Amino acid sequence: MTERREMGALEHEVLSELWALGEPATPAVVLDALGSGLAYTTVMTILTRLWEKGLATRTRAGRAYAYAPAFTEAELTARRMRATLATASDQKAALSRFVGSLSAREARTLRALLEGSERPRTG
Amino acid sequence: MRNATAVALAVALGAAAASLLVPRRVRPQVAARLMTMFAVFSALAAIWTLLLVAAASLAQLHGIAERLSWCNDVVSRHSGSFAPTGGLAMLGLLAIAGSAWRVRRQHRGLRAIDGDREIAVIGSEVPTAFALPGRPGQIVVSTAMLEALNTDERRVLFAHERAHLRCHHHRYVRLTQLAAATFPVLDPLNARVLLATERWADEEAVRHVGSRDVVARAIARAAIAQADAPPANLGIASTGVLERVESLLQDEPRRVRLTELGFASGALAAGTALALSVVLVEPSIAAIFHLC
Repeated sequence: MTERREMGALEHEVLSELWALGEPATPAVVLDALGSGLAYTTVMTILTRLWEKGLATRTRAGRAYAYAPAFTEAELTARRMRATLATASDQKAALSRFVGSLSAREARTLRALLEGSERPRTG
Repeated sequence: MRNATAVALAVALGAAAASLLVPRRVRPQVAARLMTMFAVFSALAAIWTLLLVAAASLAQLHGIAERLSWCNDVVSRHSGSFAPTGGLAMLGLLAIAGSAWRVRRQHRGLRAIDGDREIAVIGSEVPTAFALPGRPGQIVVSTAMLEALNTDERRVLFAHERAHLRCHHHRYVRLTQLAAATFPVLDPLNARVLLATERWADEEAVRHVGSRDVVARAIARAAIAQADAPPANLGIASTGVLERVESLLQDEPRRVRLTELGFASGALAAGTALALSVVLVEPSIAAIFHLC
């Protein structure tokens, strides 16, 4: 039971990592990106499972497979998406959006902050 | 009964005050729990107060008190007339039922996209990302949001949303919403608990990617991307994004042991007092404590 739940959490983590990487990745690359002391075989098992579930696609890359996350079927989504987003934009719907909306003043501050952190500091 | 009502009212008001007094320097994972606990106790106490007031009035009618064998203290004398406070209390209870039902209804209609996918990435030019609670829950991200972020920042995004699902943040937010729908004094708590859960997920993301700066940058970048996307997405009210970024640019919030302990004991006291107020009404139990 616990093992199964942990497996689910790991799948989730590996799948997010695939999305975060943004390009097809071999188990070795995923393992490296996760950097959490997992065994190579565990990562390989999880990737295979994601592929079996249709959550990831894979292509041969030399001796291993390179895995990429699978997109949601667009057609099915369009309609549901609109409904979900309509509810999602409603603050009261208790939906955890990554970021809420900004006021004009906040947008200015954040922009300045991002520019400041990227420009190499001089003097 | 009068004692019970007084205690219940005191809990309703005291817990509401305490919930609003939880200071910002309390770590978000503690603050979210404390505020939710106070909100729930306060709302339950408010309902219980109204029930007691309504019951006291009803009991004055056809000697209902004797039939239910309430404490003699419940009603001193059967006046045979219905006190207007009882009517008001009943109206209040009806209003609570109505608003609680509306909150419940708002939470329906949030269903996972495209079956049981754990992560649904939707092709959309609107940058957005959110977590849909459920079993096991789902993370929904639009392609525009993924494109706005770099690899590390995307890692933050997923770690943040995973934390929401793993720590069941929607429960705190929903319980507070229900409490606030019951007892409108608690309304300011909605935004605070929401912000506390966001801060909580931010700190979990820090733990995952190992850098406060990267998390701060990811949030800033995502918020700007969202604001820049057509149609103009600038809101009027602050949703706490800036506060989140500022908190991340400071050191990790430290444990403020005394404050946390103080508020936790306050919550415990509120819960105990509420239970006592219920006990006071039930004669068989109250008799044991010679309260009747």
